[in-house]
Amino acid sequence: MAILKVKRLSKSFGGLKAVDSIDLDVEEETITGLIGPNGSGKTTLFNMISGVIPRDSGEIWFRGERIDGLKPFEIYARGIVRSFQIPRLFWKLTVLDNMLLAARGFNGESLVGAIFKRGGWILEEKRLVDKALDILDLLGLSDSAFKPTYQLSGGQMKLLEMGRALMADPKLLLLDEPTAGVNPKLAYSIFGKIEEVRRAYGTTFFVIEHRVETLFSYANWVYVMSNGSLIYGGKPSGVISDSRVQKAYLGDIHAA
Amino acid sequence: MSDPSIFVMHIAFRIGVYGIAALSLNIEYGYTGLSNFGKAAFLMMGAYTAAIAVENGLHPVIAIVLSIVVAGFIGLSASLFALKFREDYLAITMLAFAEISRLILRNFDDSVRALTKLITGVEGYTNIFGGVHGKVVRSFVSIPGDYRLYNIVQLTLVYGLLASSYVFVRLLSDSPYGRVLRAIREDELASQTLGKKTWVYKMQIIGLGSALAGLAGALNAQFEGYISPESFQPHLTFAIWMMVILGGVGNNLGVLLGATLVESIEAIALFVKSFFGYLPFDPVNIQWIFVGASIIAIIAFKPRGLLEERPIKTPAVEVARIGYTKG
Ligand SMILES: Nc1ncnc2c1ncn2[C@@H]1O[C@H](COP(=O)(O)OP(=O)(O)O)[C@@H](O)[C@H]1O
Ligand SMILES: [Mg+2]
Repeated sequence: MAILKVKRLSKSFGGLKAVDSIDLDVEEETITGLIGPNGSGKTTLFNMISGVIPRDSGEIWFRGERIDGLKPFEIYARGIVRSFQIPRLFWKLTVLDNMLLAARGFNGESLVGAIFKRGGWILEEKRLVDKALDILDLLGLSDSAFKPTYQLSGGQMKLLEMGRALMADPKLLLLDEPTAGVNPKLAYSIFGKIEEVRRAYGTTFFVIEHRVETLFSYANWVYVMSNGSLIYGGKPSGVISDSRVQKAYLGDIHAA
Repeated sequence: MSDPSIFVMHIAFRIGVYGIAALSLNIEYGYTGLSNFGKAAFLMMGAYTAAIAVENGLHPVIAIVLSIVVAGFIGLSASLFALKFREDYLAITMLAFAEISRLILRNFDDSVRALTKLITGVEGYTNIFGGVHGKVVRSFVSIPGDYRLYNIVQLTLVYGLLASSYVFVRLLSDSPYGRVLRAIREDELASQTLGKKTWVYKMQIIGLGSALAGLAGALNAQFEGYISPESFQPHLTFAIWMMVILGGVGNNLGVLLGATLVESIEAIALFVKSFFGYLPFDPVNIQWIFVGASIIAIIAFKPRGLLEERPIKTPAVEVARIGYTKG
């Protein structure tokens, strides 16, 4: 069953059609990849799904409910969490604080709760700290838990973005280039962890990725975008032999 | 300035009052990143509310509560309006709001009188706010004859309320709520994608910050014994900003240190002015020269202020941190 359905979704910036009438489905509990040359509109698509920018036209459906037009916090509430291509962390806060901020339904975050229900949130936070440290451990970040976030390396920042998203128990996780700036071995193990989480919690992953081989060894399904349009949707094994994909990528190489 | 103890007492009182004001700006700007350049207006609203309350025979405790509530409520309403604009405009919107409120208070009585005359033909007399002439404010404390005891009670009052404000602000900043405030300061959009209704937090904080500023205004008004719209010009706002920036943005003890510093500089400037008969420049500007020099020194040597922001301390995080450093 499709957890996410995108129908004729479009977005223009000035005269540029960044996303041009795209239709796609993301099946539940899969790792679905999204690839395409730079500037093909992948991030813009994620921005619309997560409510960060408004769409021009088209529809977005999540678990049978229309979500286009909702605010980012409402989309989070429905179970979609995202990471950013260029990490958007809370730089001055510690790594652990970044993790805790993603937790769902934390009563200590309300004004009245913070002051008058201290006993309640202190216990709640103990549980969340344990959970956060477990996730940081999984991602190999536990040594940095109490560091201010700006001290992390580029690769660690990407990992933390993913960890923070996992902290929110997402049903659908949108990852925008989770392995950019990470060494190839670690990139492979990140995907191993994605697969582990998918199995353990039934999380669905929709992943923009440039490391095609790594992605293809884990993805159940792959979409390819070029110049705002969807040019391929199918099994990873079929991508290489697809003539439109070849043209899009070869064209890109020639341009570069 | 014949009795030096009066001078010292005066400074000590002002440090207490502006300590509260600096804490209030610290939760707004230091933690949440909200540039409220209308602080003076909320001190003014607290001051006038207290003045009118005691004038009408209300108990000082009620006057204090009213000042907090009125300033907080107006702050909340103003933020509703100001936060509709982009963040960059918050500063200028609040500054304009403060100046407009001040001019309204300044001209309110005259306008009502003119309007009354226009409609009824009768020369009425209104004197709620006192207009340009200002308003005499009855002290919250009345101990006739014993000036020492009077001073002790005043200082106890202001430092008691400063301590309560400090505890309140600390409870707020060292909590998951305070963590969200800082997240909004660091990256509002990212906070929203993590489910935070950021404008709710921002409104609450402007409301709370204004309420605390109202408290400071009320305390100062009854101590000085006189208020007028001229006491709440933008330079009052800037003085509070200086306290926060000098002391340490996002550090509650730091901003109290900043308040102490700025008020002491002002006192020294006053002393210098009365000591030297003639100066080659307008002596009114002495404290600004001193404050300006301190700012330059701080920016050069300690750009984050005297005391830096420290990590959020909550019980669970502290336990984990201790476990981590031991392990
Ligand atoms: N906020 C924006 N304003 C103007 N143009 C944008 C904006 N965001 C993206 N674009 C443009 O839209 C196109 C698609 O960008 P993007 O979605 O980031 O591509 P990708 O993630 O596939 O590299 C690019 O040409 C980019 O320059
Ligand atoms: Mg991109």
